[in-house]
Amino acid sequence: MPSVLIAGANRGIGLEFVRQYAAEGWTVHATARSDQACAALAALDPNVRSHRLEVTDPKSIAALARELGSGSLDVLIANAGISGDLARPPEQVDRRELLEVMGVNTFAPLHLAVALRPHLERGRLKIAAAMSSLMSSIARNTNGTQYVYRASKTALNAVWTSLAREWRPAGLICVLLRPGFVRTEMTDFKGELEAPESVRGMRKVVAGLTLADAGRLIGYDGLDLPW
Amino acid sequence: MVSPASRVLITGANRGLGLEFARQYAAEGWRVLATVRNLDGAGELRALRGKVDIAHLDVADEGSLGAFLRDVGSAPIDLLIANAGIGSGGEKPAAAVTREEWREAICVNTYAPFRLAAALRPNLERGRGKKFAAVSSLAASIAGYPIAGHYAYRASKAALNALWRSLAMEWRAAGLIGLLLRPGKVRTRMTGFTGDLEPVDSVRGMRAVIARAGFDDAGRFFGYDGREVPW
Repeated sequence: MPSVLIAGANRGIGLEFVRQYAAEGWTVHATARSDQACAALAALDPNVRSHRLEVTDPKSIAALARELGSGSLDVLIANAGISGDLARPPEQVDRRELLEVMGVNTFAPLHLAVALRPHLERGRLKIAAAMSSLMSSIARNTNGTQYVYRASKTALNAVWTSLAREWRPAGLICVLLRPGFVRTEMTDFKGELEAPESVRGMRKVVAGLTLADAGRLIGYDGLDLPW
Repeated sequence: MVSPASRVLITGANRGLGLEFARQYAAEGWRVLATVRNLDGAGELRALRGKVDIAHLDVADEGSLGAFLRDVGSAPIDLLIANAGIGSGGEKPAAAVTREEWREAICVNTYAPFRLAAALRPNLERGRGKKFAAVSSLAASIAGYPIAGHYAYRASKAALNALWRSLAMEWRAAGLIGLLLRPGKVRTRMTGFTGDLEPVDSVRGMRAVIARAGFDDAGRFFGYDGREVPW
């Protein structure tokens, strides 16, 4: 069975990815920031192996790559993300928050993918997926708000499409996924769909990917989101 | 002819596109408030003819920004051109992107222009022109940029587009028009003077875009050639 690594797996969409892939018999590497969350993940299913990972810490990323050793990875799902203070008006956005949110949402996925590239190259499916958002779409932004979060996800789209271009010659498929507005802690459980439905949709998208899809931003519904 | 009282604020005006913006607006009779990070390097700016005031501003430094904003006070600004930025540092693979590199790019190219615009909203509202433009880049275009490298730079300009678009959408109701500009590949220091057009032509084109922009253009991204750039 294939293997998948899910970063930010202790709750919400990440946790649901763990459940569904494990239930299908995949080998699931699930990462979380705390020992407690790792223990809970490992207890979920015999197919789950948990790893401690702080995505913004290069040492932690390097340690994860060492733990995976010479093993292979079919799919990476860079799911870990933060929302920051979504309600902050523009004049109150400070540099610290912009750097923090972009560190987690934009550059950590890039650094993680780079560290795990050897494992993905040894895998059969060769898929690196990052979790984008409707909020990443500038074309769809007609009312402003959520300044920092939007910027971090738009920038994620920029770096991930670059990565898709750079890695395509090696046969690696980099794609962006849009989970939809899911009822999770991040949305204060105010979303329009439940995590199982969103993740089922995104798994279907992942299952159908070919190299021709590299660089796309595809929703849980199979539809592309305009940039 | 533009009213002689029109006032434009241009950041990063000591060289390249910023200097050319200052030169052209001053030549047309605008009052130019030109900011530079280093007053010692502003020789060409000082030599411009027309009404050009030069001020020190390092937006990355809150102290410098605070002092600048106090000096500007409540003076109306008709047009803001957030031009200051740093270049891509060349094409590098994803594996070469460092934390220091991306943090600097985000601070200078993303945060600084956004911070300045957010702080100057009252001044823009008091102006008659009511336009605020940021110099972006084709590298910000996720759909249109054909090169893989320049990760930190691309991210910084894409994030700038996202923030500027949000400002433009929210401030439209106050009558302000936010624009993103693509200068083209201009022969400046930033491109190692390898571009395919001169600053004078790029800036003339961008000024025309700014001059004719109306409310329907708020939050859009235009090239120096007047063509809309895909996100």
